[in-house]
Amino acid sequence: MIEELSRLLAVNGYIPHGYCLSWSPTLVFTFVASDVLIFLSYFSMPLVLIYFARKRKDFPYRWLLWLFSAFIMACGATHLMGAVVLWQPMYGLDALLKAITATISVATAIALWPLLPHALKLPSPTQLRLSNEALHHEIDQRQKVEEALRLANAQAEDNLQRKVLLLAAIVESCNEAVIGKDLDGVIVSWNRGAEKIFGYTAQQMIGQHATKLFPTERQFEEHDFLTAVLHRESIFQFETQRIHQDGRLIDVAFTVSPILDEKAQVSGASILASDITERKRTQRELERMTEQLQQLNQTLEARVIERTAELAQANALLAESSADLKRSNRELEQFAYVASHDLQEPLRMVVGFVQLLEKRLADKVEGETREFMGYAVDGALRMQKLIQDILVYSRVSSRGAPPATVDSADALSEALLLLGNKVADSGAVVQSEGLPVVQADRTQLVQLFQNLIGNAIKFCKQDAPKIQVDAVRQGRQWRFSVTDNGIGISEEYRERVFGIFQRLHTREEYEGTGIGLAVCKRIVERHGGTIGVEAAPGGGSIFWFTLDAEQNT
Amino acid sequence: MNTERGNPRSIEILLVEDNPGDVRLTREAMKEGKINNCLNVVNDGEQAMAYLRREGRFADAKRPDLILLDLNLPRKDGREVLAEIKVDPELKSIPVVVLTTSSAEMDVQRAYNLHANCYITKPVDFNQFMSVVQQIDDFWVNLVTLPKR
Repeated sequence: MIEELSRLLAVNGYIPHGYCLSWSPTLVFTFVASDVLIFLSYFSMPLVLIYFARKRKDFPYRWLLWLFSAFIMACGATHLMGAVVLWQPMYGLDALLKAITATISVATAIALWPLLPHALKLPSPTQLRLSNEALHHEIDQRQKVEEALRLANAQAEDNLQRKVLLLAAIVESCNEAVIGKDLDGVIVSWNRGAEKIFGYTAQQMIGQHATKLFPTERQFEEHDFLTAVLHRESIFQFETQRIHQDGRLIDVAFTVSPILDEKAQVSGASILASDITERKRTQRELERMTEQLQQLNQTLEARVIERTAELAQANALLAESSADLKRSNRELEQFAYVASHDLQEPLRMVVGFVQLLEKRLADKVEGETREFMGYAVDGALRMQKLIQDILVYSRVSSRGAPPATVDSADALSEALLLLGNKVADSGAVVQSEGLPVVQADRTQLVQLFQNLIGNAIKFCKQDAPKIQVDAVRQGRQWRFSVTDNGIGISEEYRERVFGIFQRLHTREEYEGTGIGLAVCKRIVERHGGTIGVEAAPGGGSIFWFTLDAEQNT
Repeated sequence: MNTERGNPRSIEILLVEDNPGDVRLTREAMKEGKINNCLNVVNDGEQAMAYLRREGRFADAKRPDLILLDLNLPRKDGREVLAEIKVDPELKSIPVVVLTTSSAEMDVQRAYNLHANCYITKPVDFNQFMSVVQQIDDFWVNLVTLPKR
């Protein structure tokens, strides 16, 4: 074999190819240059192919690349040999190389035919460009959609985040406690309201068992809460007590509801709690007050009953005393009658027979006897006047009519009419102004004016009497005043003048029994008023009295 | 007065009065006034009615021309007497002068309601009383015309 090969490669016996060309430098040069350039070109091609193959691992016919590389290199080698044989007649090697090249060429040619349908199926660059463009378009579209999607997503996420933040802010800012707890009763969320109400911070409470806040006697409530929540029930406004961080008991109202997870399973409980300590305190205060009020009411009722009984008793007494009063009034009436009739009869006897004696013994009676008889008659007559005055006085109450609406100006006119000549004879001037309508017994009001004006006329000085009657309003009453320019009354007697039969003068100075002002006082007092006297500026007196105003004014 | 006029008429007067002093004073007043009438006196209301109806010891009594009646009388008082007289067809034409000490309004009213012909309160003063008696006589005897007996 080796012998064979060395024979083949032997150069002895052949002439260099240059001889065929007569060593024409042009030909030789052209041959050599061409062959060498071809060789170099051919050998560079596989490098490109190999680079391609390495880069395009997805290329389906890699073996074809290898085959092509071998084919080109073999061709290159034959061309190199063409140059070599110009000088070295190594035709054996040349032939061998050609044979190899031929083999590879045939193999390559054969291999190419079955490949043709596949190669035809391979997209053309145009197709590729088009599909590429379509693809690009699609990619573009997709990218756009993706961008929109991303934007939307980002927005949604943003919204969600904002919403979550808002909810969190709401929960945080809520004055009520918003607490979350899991099914073991462990606290998982604790807002600011809870911090405010219970005094613990979220840090202190999250992870703690809720029963930490429960007073001992209320520990059972946790079980009730969890049971309700597991049954998907809510508890509304459950009022109870909890322990504040500082140890004091606070009143709270709970609303406990189940929290459902995304699979609608109960995952925990939400608790809304509000501090109702103040409300409870107010409520307790209210209850206490209500109780007090009830007690007060009861006391009051008892008092009312008691008072009613007392009043009934008093009423009975009053009825009794009213009956007594009526009886005593009747008795007084009786007395008055007896006084007017029975007491006067003996007086008439005394007066009548003494006067008869005087007449019969006219010739025989001496001066002294006549004088004594005169005193007896005078005494008896005075006695009679006194009796009549007592009657007038007693009749103020026994004969009084109930008060009615009276125009006091009319009453004054009537009094002046009754005084008649006394006014005219004395030359008295009686003036009045703005006299009101009052509540009074008309007859007695007339008598009151008659007595006061009668007095003013009687107790006058040298000058003609000037009498002024006025009235001014004082609350529910009118204050009347009768002002005269008479002799006046010394201060020390101003109380006494209203006493019965009180006189400041002798009978020789001024007649009268001293009943007039006593009757005035009795009339005014019977009307619920008061009477008095004061000095008038220019001497004289002001007699004043008060009477109730007309009911509707 | 009558005598002065020279035309003295005499009438029958019944005085119903329980007080003898008053009776005497009335008589004396008439005497002082020279009144010449026939004054018959009874001391209570029962006697007065018996007299007017001529019962018992008054069977022969004369029917009076005028009655002077006090109100306060024992047994049957003046008001009852007045009422009985004024409902009696036989007696109601006789004028009745109520002459009493009472000045009570109630008595005055009641007397007139019972058809008294007039009401006079006896004055305390004797001279005034005399004057009253005089005027009664003057009025009822001389001035008015009385019904026939």
